[in-house]
This record gives sequence, structure tokens and C-alpha cells, in this order.
Amino acid sequence: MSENFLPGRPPWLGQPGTPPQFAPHHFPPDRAAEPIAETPAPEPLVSSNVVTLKNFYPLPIDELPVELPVDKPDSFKFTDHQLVEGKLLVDFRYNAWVYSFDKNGNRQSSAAKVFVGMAMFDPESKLWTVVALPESFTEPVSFSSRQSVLWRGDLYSSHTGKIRKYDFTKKIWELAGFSVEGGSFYNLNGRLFIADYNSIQEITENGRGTKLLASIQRQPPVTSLDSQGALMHLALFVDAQKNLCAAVHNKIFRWDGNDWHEISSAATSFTPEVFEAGVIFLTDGFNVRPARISRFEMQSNLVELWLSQTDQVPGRRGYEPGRVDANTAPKPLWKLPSELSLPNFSAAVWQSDLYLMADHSEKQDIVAEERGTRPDGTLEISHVVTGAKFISKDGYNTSLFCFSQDLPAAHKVRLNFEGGDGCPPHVWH
Amino acid sequence: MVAPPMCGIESKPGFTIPGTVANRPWMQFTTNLLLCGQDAVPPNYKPGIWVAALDSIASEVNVLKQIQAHIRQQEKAKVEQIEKESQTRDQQARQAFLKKYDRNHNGHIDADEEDDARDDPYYIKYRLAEIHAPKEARPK
Repeated sequence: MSENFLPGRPPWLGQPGTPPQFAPHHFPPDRAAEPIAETPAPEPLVSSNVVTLKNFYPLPIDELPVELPVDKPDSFKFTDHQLVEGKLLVDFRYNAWVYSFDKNGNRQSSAAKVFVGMAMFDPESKLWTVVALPESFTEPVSFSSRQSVLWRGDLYSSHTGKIRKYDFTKKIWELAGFSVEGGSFYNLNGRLFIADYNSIQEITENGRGTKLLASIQRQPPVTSLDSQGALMHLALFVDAQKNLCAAVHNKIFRWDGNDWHEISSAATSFTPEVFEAGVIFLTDGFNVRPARISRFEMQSNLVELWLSQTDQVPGRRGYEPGRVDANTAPKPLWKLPSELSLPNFSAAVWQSDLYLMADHSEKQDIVAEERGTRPDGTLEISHVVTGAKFISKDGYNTSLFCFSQDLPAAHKVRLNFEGGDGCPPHVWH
Repeated sequence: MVAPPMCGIESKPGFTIPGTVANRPWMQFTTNLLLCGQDAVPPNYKPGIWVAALDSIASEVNVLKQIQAHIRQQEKAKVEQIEKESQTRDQQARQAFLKKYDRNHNGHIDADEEDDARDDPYYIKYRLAEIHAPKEARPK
């Protein structure tokens, strides 16, 4: 006998996606009565002074093993950044031409190659240390995040698929002692983890052994993460009690030594950003609606909705996790000032405050005149864009928005980046 | 895919598909510094990072926090003042109402006093206050 169900989604399929769970905010008493969602965002308070930033530290590109091409200096890109063991570690790549010559010194061939390296910036001494990989790559090259790490003072790289360690004394790369294929590194309180879409492993025995904490290829599954599919947008971090946690599958799991236990959930469109004061989850408003910034709080293990872009671009049909009635929808802790547009924002957390940086400059193309000769011998003059300048508007080129836990309005600090060689932060399409 | 840019687009509502921007500015906080960088720079600039002492930024933020806290305190005081004045006015109206209709001066409008009081504009307010009053404060 067949069972009759009400029209709609069959009950055995459950609800599509995982509805985000947000902790109700415990607003301070004088904020509790404020109907946040119904009123416009309070105007940000603007600093009376413009803070001028003059300290720009250029990467010593003359230390690169293969010279950055003079004709294409814009081929250089930073591909990742992280704060680890007190240093800022950045990964970079650049394209350069590699030539081969015959025994008589005549150029035989040339090829465009990609070179990869890492640079460490010491915030105390303000000095850079640049280390490049010896080999080059051929386009297309796709690198994931966290492919380098500092662990116990040593530099590791997984860019080539094998994990290698750099010997700063001999200035050579050597294979690391542990047999793990490439992946993303996480140095969490001195413990080293390597993860990719398939697995999470911890490096043990002083770098000689490994412990498998999750594997989607393992049959039968051993931990709860083994059977939930590819580990997309994975971020590992430790909570306030130094427990290992994983943000993946729009959820947050805690490792108890044997298994992963779901402790919270938060929708995300990207790999969450981990800061000392919390983990930031962003939805882009395009694939997952609405665009939001949420924070996982390490002490309470709760997810707070911080900002939400309610006015969506018409026609976008992104996935809406757990559509809920507007009256019962979680209220964001702050309202987004009308001058900001959320989807392309990222966020940084410092001392429980949310910081957003916004471009306030005007782009001016630098145009050069190029002269050539047409086939008929006449002069041809064309104009080529060779660069761009970013000019301050109203005396500043960047706004830093600070959202403070106990205050409803954002604070806007006007910054002006003034360095001869440095480009002010901006979005460049 | 790592997180989208740290630097949003001010005064430029609209939509850019995350990940399609060629440049992603970012910022990192240490205990005393703000480090800013971006993935790519135009060819006329050098790649590198900006370093700012957090003191200079924090002092601006703290001033703004104090201003906002002060504004909120003033608003709160204003609301409290309005409430206090309203209470005083209500108290005076109640006293005048009772003086007029509470013939036996027991502090309540009794059944035999109600006929006269019913037409007074304050009567409904008086009754509502009685309904919402704690049980022990209501007339026996």
C-alpha cells in the first residue's frame, strides 16, 4: 500500500540545505527596544581627522631568482596571506620568460613560465625574507590557499604536490619527513594540520608521523566527516578551550579526539576567515542569499549574524538557506550603512569589533603615446594604458568602518595612504 | 577560493560576482599593527604591504565611540526627562480629578461618585490605571 503525502517536498528528503542557526543577540539594555530591521541604518560617525599611513614596505623583488619582466611588472600577484608564528607569510607568483640557448649561445626557444615564492614579513624588524621555489610551472596554474606555512620556525610548501621544507642555512628545499600529499596547512597553537578536499591529517611525532582525522575515501566511515562529501570551503581553527574545530559543509564541528561533533552552523560562500576573536562567514548574495557576514564566537560557540544586505539585486536567484518569515528572521547586530554594498566586502575582526575597509579613491589611467610606422610608411600614433593612479577623494583614499559590539552606528575612520611606491588599497576589476 | 576582498566599494551599489575582481585588498591585525596589502597592483606601483600603528586608528575609533556613547547617554537622559515630565503631569491631573470627584477623600472613585466622574476626560485614563495597578493597590 502506498503512503499518501501532502503535496510538496517528500518528507524523506528533509529540508533543502541546512538552515543557518543564529544565536539571539543579547543586546545591551538601551539597545534592546530598538526595532533594528525596520529602521534605516544609523549614519556612521565620521572621524574628524584623516589618519595618514606612510609606512609602505615593498617586497624586495630584486631577490627573486628569475627577474620580474620589465615589460610586464603587473604579472606579479600575491596569492595568499596569513599571520603565523608572529610573521606575515605571503605567497606570490609571477610570470617570466625563460630562454634556452644552443651551445653557441644563440637563443633557441622561449617559454612563459610561472614562478612561485613565499615572503615573510617580520612586524618587529620590518624586514622581508624572500624564498622562491626552484622550479617553474606552466600555465594554467591553480593554487589553493595556505600552501605554505611556518611551523616551529621552518618554512613548508605544498605547491608542487609534495611537501617540502626550506633549509634557511643551506638555502635549499628538501622533502619533509612526513609522507603526505599536498594540501592546505594549518599551524594551530603549534600543532600542524594538512587538509584538502578529501582529508584532514595532523602531523605527529615531531614531524615523523601523521594521524588521519577525516577522510571521505575511507570505507567504512570512521568519523562523521567521512561520509558528508568533499571538504569544500574548509577552515580549521581552535576554539577558546584550544579544541580543534572545522568549519565545513556550512557547519562547525569540534574534534573530541575520536570524532567530529557538530556544534553550530553558518552558511558560507567562501572559505571562512579565521581571526583570534572569531571566525567570519560570508555569503555572497549571489549563490547564497542574502549577502551576510556572520561571526562564530570562540568562547560561546555561537554564531552571530553581524550584517545582512536586505536589498538584493533584482533577478538574482541564489539559493536561500532556510527561508524564514521576515518577522522571525534573525536580526543582524548592525545595519549596513547605505553607502556600503556588502557582496564584495570581506571582514576582519579585532577585539570583537568588525572592521571593513572601503575604497574612496578615483582611478586615473596613465596613458602613453606609442609611435609606429604603417605599411605605407606613414607615422601611426596610438595611446596605450600603461598603468593607473588612484587619487584621493575629499583628502582620503580609504574608509575604515568599525562596528562595535555595544554601539549601533558604525564608526568611519578616514585613511590616506601616502607612500611613493605603494598603491592604496582598492578594488581593481 | 579564499575570501573575497577586504576592501569593498564605497558609494557604488551594484553587484560584482565575488572572485571576479582582479585585485583583493586585505588587512590583518597584530597586537599593535594593522597590516594591509592587496593581491595585485597596477604596473606603476610596487608590490608590498602597508603597516600602520594601531594606536593612531584606535584613538580615532575611541573618540568616535565616546562621542556615540555620549550622544546615546544624552538621548537616554532626554527620554527619561520626557517620561518624568509626563508622569508629573499625569500625577497633577489625577490629583485634580480626585479632588473634584472623590468626595469622601479615600483616594478612589467609589460607585456613588462615578456618575459625576464618568464625563471627565481623565476618567478613562484613571480607570485604565486602576486596571493595570497591582492588586493590592486597587480599591476594595
